[in-house]
Amino acid sequence: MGELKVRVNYVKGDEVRFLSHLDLARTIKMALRRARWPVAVTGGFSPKMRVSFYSPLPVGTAGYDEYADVVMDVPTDIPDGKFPIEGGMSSMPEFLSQLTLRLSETLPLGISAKEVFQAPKDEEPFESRIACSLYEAHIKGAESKALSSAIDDFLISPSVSYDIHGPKGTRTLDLRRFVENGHITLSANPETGIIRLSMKIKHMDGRTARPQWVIDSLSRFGFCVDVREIIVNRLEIILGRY
Amino acid sequence: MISWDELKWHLGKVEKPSRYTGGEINVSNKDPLQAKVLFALAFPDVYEVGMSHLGSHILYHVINQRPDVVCDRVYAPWIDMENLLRDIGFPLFSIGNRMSLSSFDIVGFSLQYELTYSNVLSMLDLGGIPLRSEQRRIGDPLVIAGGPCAMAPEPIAPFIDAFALGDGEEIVLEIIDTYKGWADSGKSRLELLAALSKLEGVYVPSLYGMEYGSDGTIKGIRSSKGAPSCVRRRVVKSLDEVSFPDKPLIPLMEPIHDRAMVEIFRGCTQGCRFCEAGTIYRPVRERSLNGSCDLARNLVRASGYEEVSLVSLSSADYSRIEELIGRLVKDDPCGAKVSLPSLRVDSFSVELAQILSTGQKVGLTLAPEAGSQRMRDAINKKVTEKDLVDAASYAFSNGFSHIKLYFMVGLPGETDEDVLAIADVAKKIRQIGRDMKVRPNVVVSVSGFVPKPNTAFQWEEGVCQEELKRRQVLLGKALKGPGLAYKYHDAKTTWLEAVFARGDRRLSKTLEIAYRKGARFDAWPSMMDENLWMASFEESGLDPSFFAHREREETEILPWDHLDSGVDKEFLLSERSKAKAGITTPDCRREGCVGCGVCPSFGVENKIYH
Repeated sequence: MGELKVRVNYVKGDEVRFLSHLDLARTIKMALRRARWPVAVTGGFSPKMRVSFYSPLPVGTAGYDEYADVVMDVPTDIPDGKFPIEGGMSSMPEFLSQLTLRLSETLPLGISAKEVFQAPKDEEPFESRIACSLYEAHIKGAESKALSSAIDDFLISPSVSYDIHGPKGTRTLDLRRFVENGHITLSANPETGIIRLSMKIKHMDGRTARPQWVIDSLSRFGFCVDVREIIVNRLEIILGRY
Repeated sequence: MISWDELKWHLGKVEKPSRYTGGEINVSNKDPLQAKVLFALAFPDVYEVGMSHLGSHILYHVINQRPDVVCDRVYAPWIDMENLLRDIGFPLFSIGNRMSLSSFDIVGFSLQYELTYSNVLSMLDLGGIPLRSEQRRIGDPLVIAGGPCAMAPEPIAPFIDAFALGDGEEIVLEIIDTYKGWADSGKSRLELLAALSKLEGVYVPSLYGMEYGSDGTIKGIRSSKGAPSCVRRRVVKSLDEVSFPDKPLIPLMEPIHDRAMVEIFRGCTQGCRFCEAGTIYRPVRERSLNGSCDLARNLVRASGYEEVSLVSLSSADYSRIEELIGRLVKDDPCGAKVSLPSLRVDSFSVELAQILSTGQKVGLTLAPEAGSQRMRDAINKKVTEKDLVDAASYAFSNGFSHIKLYFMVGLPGETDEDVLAIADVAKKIRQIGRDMKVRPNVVVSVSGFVPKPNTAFQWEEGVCQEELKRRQVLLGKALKGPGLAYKYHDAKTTWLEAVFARGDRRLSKTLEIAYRKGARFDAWPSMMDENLWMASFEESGLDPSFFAHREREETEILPWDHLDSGVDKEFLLSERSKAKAGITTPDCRREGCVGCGVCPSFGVENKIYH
């Protein structure tokens, strides 16, 4: 008897971009409880809901293609493949559509479920399937020429080392390795004065880089901006083959 | 209104920006443009603290039930956000509709603690509201305040137009009605204040003058414009008859107390002599068993919380507590673990230990308050050594290993022996755990005693900072060892609390000077700047010891004598004498009336569902 794992493809929208990953996880778990999802819990002294969130976003970044897996507390060895839902038994598609409906009713403004589906059985860990993230950054009041030339310089550099200061100390990362060639593009809107910068950032061995770091590193190529004043969205998570 | 598209460009610069973004579950979405009255509930601390305050949730719910009123919330911005607001020229705004504080008709502050006063000033200032009541004109919001500090509010009185004393559910609606009637009348602001002063439970400080003698004490308090000479607080007769939020606001950011809360009763008649809440919330009004159960279930369902806390001033004293928890945990489980806040030692029974331990075990908190029997008798904490031993045994034998104990040091008449007795109690409890083969973890949490208004100790001398620190160190040395942890409150914040708790109106000058010098979040030890406050006392020509440490004459006019809690002064004086003699006073719930005066004052009685 296996277990039923349901994958939720969801949006962490503009309204909740400033939620931390832990608060986002708490909010979604509470919504699952209000939606009366039959979520499996861990055993032991202090049972926890079996929900996994992938590729956490930093505070300030919105995501339009986010994933979480939920292990369900339902029997999976029923011969005719029926699942218990309120008011009777149903097929898998009905079961999933009812889960989606109930979750949509309980999520707060800014968070929405795009799709709920059964996670593939026997796949490799989902986090390691993530190949790239596609981001866009909005930058206000910047010189697009300076930015354009800084990007060119970044892309032709063999490496761009960048110091990340965290609570456990400082670590240095080669940002260049994480940015795919030719995958920083920019467009400027003369009416709003906002420059839109797209970039594809790789995930390698469970590690990735933040677009804010890339933009911050452009200062050495002559483009300076306070990265706390830019708006970053993740548009897509691109999965590799499994 | 501040647009999100503008604000979001700036929030990346502040710590924990989700403090300022709202979007809670169950938030009211009424249109402020359709409202006759816009009401801002203002909490003078950060969002995650304010969102943990049950009283604010109740008032938000009660006010928003009225179709003509839109109630929104506003919290104190942390220093980085304050600086940001000043830099970008945004006013302090409400969390729900992002409206500037000055655009509200009524701004109602919740005063839970004296050390939030500097934040009240910063919120008014950032919100574009003149600081002092006398500076406000037509068009400025009416600034009101309630909460326990409103029962002795003189240090902050000049900044507040009107205080609401006592239970807020009914009086807040009467204030709104009075405001609404005035708003269309074209009358002056003074006439609004005079009309408010006619409401029972409303104290309009600008209508009361204080006269001081050459020794600095108050010689007279005089009311004007027909305001009553004494304002009596309001009491809600039955909790079952006032509305309680069954669809609670759930913040997306984790609040300090991340759980559903059911108020199972209000008021406490144990009569601890240090406790102001034990006076100003009397009498006891229990929520019915069915009402409490239904609320707990509805709250869990509407919130998704994993824990529901049965709150009150002393929850184990609820007359049918075992039955209540039994129903929620065993008979018809509510789907969440059930917890009780700090417990009285004498009411923690073996049955309660067993019932609580069937759910998931949360740590257990007991509040003996004093280490020696002599001190416990003096403060009327009617708990014996045997009660403590029994409670610990029940807890350990039912699977609890973590016990937190609350104590105070600096109590009137306390000796070093009394202080060291705290360590003896902790060690004794640890030994009980060891004997029962659990690995006990005993946390001793000690706060500094502050003589509070409206208590039997309101006349007492408070110990000075140096002496408090000495006693803290003395206890710390005796509390070393495995399985023991010691936490104590910062002596300088205790000192400032002592100044403001029994302060008079002249302290408003000090408060304003301190605010101008940068005082904020004084309750946070890392933020409280003692030198800044000392300079502010000096500049205002006031001696903090006069308020914090001086023993008051029993005949002295106290700065809260014109505000009536319903408890007679004679009763408090007799309690003071009994404290000195080490005589305890029983709880009137169990052993009959003790003559405090509350029930005849309000025409109510303890409401207990035996």
